[in-house]
Amino acid sequence: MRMKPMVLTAAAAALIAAPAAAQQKINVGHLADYSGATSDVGKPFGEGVADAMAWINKNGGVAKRQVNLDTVDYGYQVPRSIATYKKWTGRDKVVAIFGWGTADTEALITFVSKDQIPYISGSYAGSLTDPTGQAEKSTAAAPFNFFYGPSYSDAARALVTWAADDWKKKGGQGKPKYVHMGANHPYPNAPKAAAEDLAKELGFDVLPAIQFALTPGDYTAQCLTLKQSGANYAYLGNTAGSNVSVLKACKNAGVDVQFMGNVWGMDENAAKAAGNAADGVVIPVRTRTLWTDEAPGMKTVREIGGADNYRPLHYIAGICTAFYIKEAMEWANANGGITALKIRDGMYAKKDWVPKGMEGVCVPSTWTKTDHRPTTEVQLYRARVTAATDAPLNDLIKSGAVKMEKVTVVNLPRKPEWLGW
Amino acid sequence: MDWNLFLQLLVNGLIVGALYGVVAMCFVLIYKASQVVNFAQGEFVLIGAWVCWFFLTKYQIPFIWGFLMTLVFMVIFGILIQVVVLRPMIGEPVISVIMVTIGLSIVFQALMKWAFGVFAQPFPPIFERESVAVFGLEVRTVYLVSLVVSVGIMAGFAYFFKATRMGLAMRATAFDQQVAQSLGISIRSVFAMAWAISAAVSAVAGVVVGVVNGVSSALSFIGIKVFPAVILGGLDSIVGGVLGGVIIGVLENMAHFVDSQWLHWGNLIEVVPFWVLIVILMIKPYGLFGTRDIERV
Repeated sequence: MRMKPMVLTAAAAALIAAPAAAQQKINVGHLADYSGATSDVGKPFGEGVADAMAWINKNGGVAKRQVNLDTVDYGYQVPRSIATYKKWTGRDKVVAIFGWGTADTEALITFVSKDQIPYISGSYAGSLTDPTGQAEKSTAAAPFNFFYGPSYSDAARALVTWAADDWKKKGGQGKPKYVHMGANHPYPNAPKAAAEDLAKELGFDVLPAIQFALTPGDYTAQCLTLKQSGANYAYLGNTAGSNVSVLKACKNAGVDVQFMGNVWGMDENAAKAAGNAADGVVIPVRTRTLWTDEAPGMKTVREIGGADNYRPLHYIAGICTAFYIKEAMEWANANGGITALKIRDGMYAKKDWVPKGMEGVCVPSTWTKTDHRPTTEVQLYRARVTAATDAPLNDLIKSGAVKMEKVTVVNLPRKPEWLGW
Repeated sequence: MDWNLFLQLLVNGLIVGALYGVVAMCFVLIYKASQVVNFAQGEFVLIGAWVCWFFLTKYQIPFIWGFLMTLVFMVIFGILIQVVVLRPMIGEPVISVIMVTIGLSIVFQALMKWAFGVFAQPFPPIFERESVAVFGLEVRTVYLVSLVVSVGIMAGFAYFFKATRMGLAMRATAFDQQVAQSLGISIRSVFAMAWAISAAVSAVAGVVVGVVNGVSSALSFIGIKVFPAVILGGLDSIVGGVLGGVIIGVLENMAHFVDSQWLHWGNLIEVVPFWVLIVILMIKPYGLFGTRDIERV
């Protein structure tokens, strides 16, 4: 008979405690492309973010609170990103959002600014780097937009800087020719003007851009034009899937050009898909290490990703992105509570900052109230494919058939006129 | 004017256009037999490519056997889709059936991503020489082989429709389903046959594109790309579909030539086929070879 009151008391306590526990959770939105046009790179990056958050929860959470990460696959569709944003801010009261593409991030700038929600995108468009909107070539203020890594424009500038140096080292005669390639879409277009401007400044002959779609297809026509143009350096502005098609078509057409990919333009999976056509492509990488490299922070990275699985470079960049937000939340907790505004302030709290546990992995980054360029240091790597690639990626990496070789690190000046552009 | 580039783009247009023609034939075949525009055609292409890739890489079997097994799989798949999903729709409004094919395309997209992932996968090397020179243009061997196969398929279709009982039954069904049925033709068999052939031929295109670019979900985009070719040629004309494909292939490449040489406007290669489509449809609403539907009231 004495059991009944005990059970009732326990049930009542559980009922009272349940909402309190739910309240303790930190609601965060996560917009990911696992099925759309950019899913080839969206999946490893999104998994990096989600796995990092799961690891953080497993290891005590943020200030002893669990992060309730709501991952939504929006298929790279802008209307779906807006609908999801409305749900997050209306019903879920999220305090931060991990975003993805350039088109949707740019579409949401005014929303996140009005609602004052820190929005950490997978888009690194230069237009997101000016929080005040006062810079010379800035089009709008983006005070709540953040990302981890060099901006698309700075990465492209680093590639152009390297190309100018490479041309000299190779003893090239006359003016080298530079061409921008990509879809007529906000993401490939984001760094076009900035890179072409610097290319002209560095003595390149800038050729008319060559367009190809964001989806894989037959791009022989574009490659024949590229060949006929006599270009020496070609920037690939699309994601890996369509770049693979271009690389294969150009290899077949006998195009002799140094390809340079953007941050999402090439990775280990793309090198496997493109085979020897990917050999030699130079790309910017956001982290100081790849999966097979050693650094103190790699212990945590391997705990997150599972030591036996090779994880591509976008995965590690996703982890770094998540850890910056984690520390901004911790700062917020220690300075008034985990609210959207305080998380934003947390992003400004430190200088040349590497999150704890990520030492040697993430590039030291600084965000200020007037400059959202986290870093202007750009690691350049070269894809190497030396054998057939029809084996699992793990095996190809182990055998060395596919690898990423470090080429150089370009430290760009933090010019005010490049802010927001 | 760069005549060498012009010639190379012309050759490329003809070769890629022939491939469009093969996929266009699949659209036409289903429409001809059942009056249904199959919006899942691109996904049929994708499924064919993934299945062949799976046989070749997982079981390491020689290409020719893997390819033949893929065709057998696709025939069974086509019949199953028709029997399970589309047969219950017979007699329903055409728009309902079209919506079902759109639903199928979404389901297959998701299914393929779930089964094979989102990363592009390379086909194992198939031909000893990856490319051969044609008029100064290095053309993929697989494209040339596909051209031969496409011509073979077209000739086969011509014979099938003109000289076989089933071909005649399909033509009769396309002309008038009720009359054909009253003459003892099994409409169900005709529909199943049309879907089976269409699925198998789609696999040919899927394997070719897969060998060239690697297989990924985005490969199904060819279904949309071929659509102007089908409309241009005439929705119910096999010859029209093939010619429409070739015309679109050449048009794309010529538009790109003009753009790259003089205009520098950007993606003319993508949009010109649709402009030309609009113009031709204004002059010939049923396409170049489509049957003109005359209703007397």
